[in-house]
Amino acid sequence: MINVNHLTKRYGSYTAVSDISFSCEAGTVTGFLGPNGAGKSTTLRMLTGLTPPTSGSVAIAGRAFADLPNPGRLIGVMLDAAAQHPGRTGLETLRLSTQLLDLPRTRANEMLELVGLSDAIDRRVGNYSLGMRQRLGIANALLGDPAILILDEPANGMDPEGIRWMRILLRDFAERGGTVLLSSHLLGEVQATVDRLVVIGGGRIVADDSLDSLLAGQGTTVRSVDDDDLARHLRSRGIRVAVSGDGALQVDADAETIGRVALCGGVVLTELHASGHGLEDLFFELTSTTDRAAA
Amino acid sequence: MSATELRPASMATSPELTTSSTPHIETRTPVHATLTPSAPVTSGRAEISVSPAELDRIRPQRFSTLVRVEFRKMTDTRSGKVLIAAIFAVALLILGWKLIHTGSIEPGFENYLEGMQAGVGFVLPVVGLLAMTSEWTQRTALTTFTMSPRRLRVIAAKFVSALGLSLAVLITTIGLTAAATWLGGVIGGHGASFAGAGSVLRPTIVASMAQVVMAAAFGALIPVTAVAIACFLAFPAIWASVGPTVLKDSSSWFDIFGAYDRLGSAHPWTQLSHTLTSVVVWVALPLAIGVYRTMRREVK
Repeated sequence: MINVNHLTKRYGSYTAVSDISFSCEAGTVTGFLGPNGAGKSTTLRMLTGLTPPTSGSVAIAGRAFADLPNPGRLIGVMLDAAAQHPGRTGLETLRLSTQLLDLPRTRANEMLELVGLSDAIDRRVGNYSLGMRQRLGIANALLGDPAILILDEPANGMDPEGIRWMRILLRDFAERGGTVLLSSHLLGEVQATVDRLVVIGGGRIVADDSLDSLLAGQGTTVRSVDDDDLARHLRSRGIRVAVSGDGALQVDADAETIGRVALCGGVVLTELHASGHGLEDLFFELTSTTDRAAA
Repeated sequence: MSATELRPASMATSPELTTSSTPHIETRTPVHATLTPSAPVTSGRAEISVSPAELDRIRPQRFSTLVRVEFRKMTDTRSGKVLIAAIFAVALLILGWKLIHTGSIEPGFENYLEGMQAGVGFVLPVVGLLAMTSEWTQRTALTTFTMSPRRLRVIAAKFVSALGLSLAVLITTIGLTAAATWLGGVIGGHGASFAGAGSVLRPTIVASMAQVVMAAAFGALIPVTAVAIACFLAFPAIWASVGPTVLKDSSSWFDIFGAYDRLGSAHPWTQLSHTLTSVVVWVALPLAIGVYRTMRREVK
């Protein structure tokens, strides 16, 4: 649904985004991660036609963004919840979009109800909290009943209830066949929502894979009553073993394999779990090298 | 109610609570499990898919729709309403002043219109300027251009709607002027005089609308409202005093106010080359550069 081909953006001698390619498939939520200044926002702006790329191209459902007949009917975009006119009411903000999208006026009220802003439709957006603006921005993105969503930090400023609502909404959207590209710094939330991850660091893609395989690559942490004996048994089966800083074994195999080896060797395990603490560790692992390279 | 009574109930309503307490990374799968197919979170289609044929069925945005949306944007905010109200307030103040002093002034329509134009002509161009700058200053350009990526059409729609709105406002103020003239005639007891109305209307409308176009051009060139207004007011005025001393007689080639006067006069085509040069330098050039830059400007 979204195909990014060798996209590059240079500002003078500075390369913000360097030859990146990835794609987002229908029925999936793709997380787009990267530290500040990694080129994330620039990429999202190039995807939506707001920033002209230096080279490379983007295809949305096979077409350039500017060639989409009425983009809001196909792709819902929210890049910055703060970019709304403070002098308009929430209802008026959406009414303008319904007019542009050839939708009945009542659709604006329906969407405001859906995102939980029914009580605030006649309040000026300037009086909205950040979380309310996010909800309004999401209502605007969903207004045209699109098949693709591109959202930048949608959960920013939302309360826990809103974050959970957002997660369910995006999962439901993808399960019905929709395509989602989601950028967020809330890694726990990303981990709970996405199927795939595209990680950008220093303007380059440093990881592009399914969440499961990216997280699986971190190995397993093991402790036992006799670590040396266990390590010997594991190594004899060609499994790589290292000793981590806190004395536990870092094993390049899954928990079941290790458990079986321990059973055969008669070593009692005292600890056995996947290494790392999930996405957060993975994120730092992936992006720290690019930070160093940039420094 | 005791804590033991509460626990099973809360777990039943949010099943993922039971799984999020497990220490490891697999919080993802249970989340899927909490979703029911009929999750009441979206009002969209049951099946989302996009075929090329479906894409072709989406009707492209019509230019008339863009114009209507842009017209609405100019009038649906408080600042937009205040601006229009301010223009009418200026017109009413001036006309009111003239009516109070109706005994001591010329009672004709021409006189009233001249006074009205001196005030309104100053504020009206801001309508055109704001149409071009507002979205960049308020950052709503981000939404506008993702929903309508063909920017030239959006700029053209803004231009058309700004001209339409300012023309409507101008015609209304002219109507108010006519009403004031009539009222002045009644109050003064000398009867209203509309002699020469036709010959003063044309220069008023031409100069006013030309100023709106020029202000829109400045707005397109400079996307920051305050800076654009300052430049629009200052530069032609500065040039009007500096130009003649620097270029002597040749300065009339770049005298935009002289060009407006000629265009509004009974002989609009006199010194046509001077008029055209002035319009190109003060209006067409800023507009062309402004549109070109807006087309390529990064929207942030």
